[in-house]
Amino acid sequence: MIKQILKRCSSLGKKQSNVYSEDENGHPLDVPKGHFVVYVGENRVRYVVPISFLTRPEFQLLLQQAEEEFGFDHDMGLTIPCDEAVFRSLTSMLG
Amino acid sequence: MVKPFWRIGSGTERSKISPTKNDGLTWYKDLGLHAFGEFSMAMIQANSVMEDQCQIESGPLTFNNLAVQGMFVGVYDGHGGPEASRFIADNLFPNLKSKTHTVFLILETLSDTLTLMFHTSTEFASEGGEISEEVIRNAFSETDEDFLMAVKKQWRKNPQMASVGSCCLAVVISNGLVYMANAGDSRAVLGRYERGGGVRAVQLSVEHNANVESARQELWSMHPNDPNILVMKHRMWRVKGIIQVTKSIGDAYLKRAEFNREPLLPKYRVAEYFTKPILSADPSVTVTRLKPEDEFMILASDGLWEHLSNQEAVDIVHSSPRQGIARRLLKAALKEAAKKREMRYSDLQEILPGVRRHFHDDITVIVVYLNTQTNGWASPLSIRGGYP
Repeated sequence: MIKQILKRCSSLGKKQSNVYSEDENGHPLDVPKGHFVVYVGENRVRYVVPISFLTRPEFQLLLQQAEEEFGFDHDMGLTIPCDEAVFRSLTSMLG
Repeated sequence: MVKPFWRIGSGTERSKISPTKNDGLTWYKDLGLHAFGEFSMAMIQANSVMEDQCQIESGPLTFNNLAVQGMFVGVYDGHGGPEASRFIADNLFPNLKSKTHTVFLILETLSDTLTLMFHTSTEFASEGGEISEEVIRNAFSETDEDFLMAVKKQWRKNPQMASVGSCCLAVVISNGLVYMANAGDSRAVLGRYERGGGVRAVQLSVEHNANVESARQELWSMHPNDPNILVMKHRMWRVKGIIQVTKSIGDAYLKRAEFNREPLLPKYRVAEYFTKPILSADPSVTVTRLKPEDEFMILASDGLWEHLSNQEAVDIVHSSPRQGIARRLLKAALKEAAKKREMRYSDLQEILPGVRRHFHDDITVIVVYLNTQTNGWASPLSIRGGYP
């Protein structure tokens, strides 16, 4: 499961625009059920992550950092002010 | 832990009207009856503690004259904690009622000159016990002062209360007039029939948010000697680089220098000493005469308006059944919030309060249908949503 998520993360990581194709319900085609999207680091690299991460204290810490940095206003998607490598290693421990 | 956050106020309700309900993080009353027609309410919690509060009161608007009938609707969007919005829900309407006293003038001639005036309050601002702009302003001011007094009493034990505040939107409908008073960034929008068909959104409230041009101008003009009154931070304007709302009830640390010190957390402290309050609780007030073409009014906290435009919300209300209309608006806003996070609405609904705030804000929405033909003598009603 963890490997699958990381694979998905890495395969999507290089896309930087959030203009993605959507299905008839307005869901982005590349975001599976039970997942959402965050943008990580200075380059705002797009990652698809499972909503189960939201219950993990490690991930909540990242969100807290985002809140301290940006408040809750994210016009361009939920942005996490964290080094990409740190984000990857941290999320690799979640699952 | 998810805490339920609702309670039902006292008062009577007609049997055909749907009851208040609590479904997870959502509280709602799909349809109720007020003095001038029907209404619908819905709220959803995103913060770990619900910071929004709301209420509808319908019936007498004074303590001593049953002939002064009308309805009162309040939407209170708290920040920094729920204490200020709860305080408003407890106190604003009673303060308003006590200021709407009937004035008795008894002229008595004694030795040709003595005139005695009896009135029930030295602060009366109404004629014949009616609502007025001044009565509403005084009720806001009194509520703010009383809250600041409560903060002062708790300062040693609970200094963080000085950083708790709330937006306050109150609408009074009485005698064919709509009084709208707003301090903060909640919004009231009227749905008005157009001659050519459809319903047009007419915004009644002025928003006090630093990201609205008029609010910035007002703040700059009130603080001409402070070049740092507004600071741009992360592409958002903030008062003193801290807060986006430019008017509020509470936020004692931005009103009196006595609270702008330790042990309050540094992020809530202003670097310079100040004497003039940085934020004010004085609402912008509009008085609008209801027209037969005014179909309904939507009142909501900014949690709704960040996802729906005035016209989108008005179109939804106009084209949908009345039953459950507030919940329908809530759902439309949440669907939009899910879209912004590139996820499914059904997945958003699984997210617990607290972290949920990263996806949307607490949201309150009230739809009030306006039927000017009604005589205004429906059963008295008192409903409150958002209580812990």
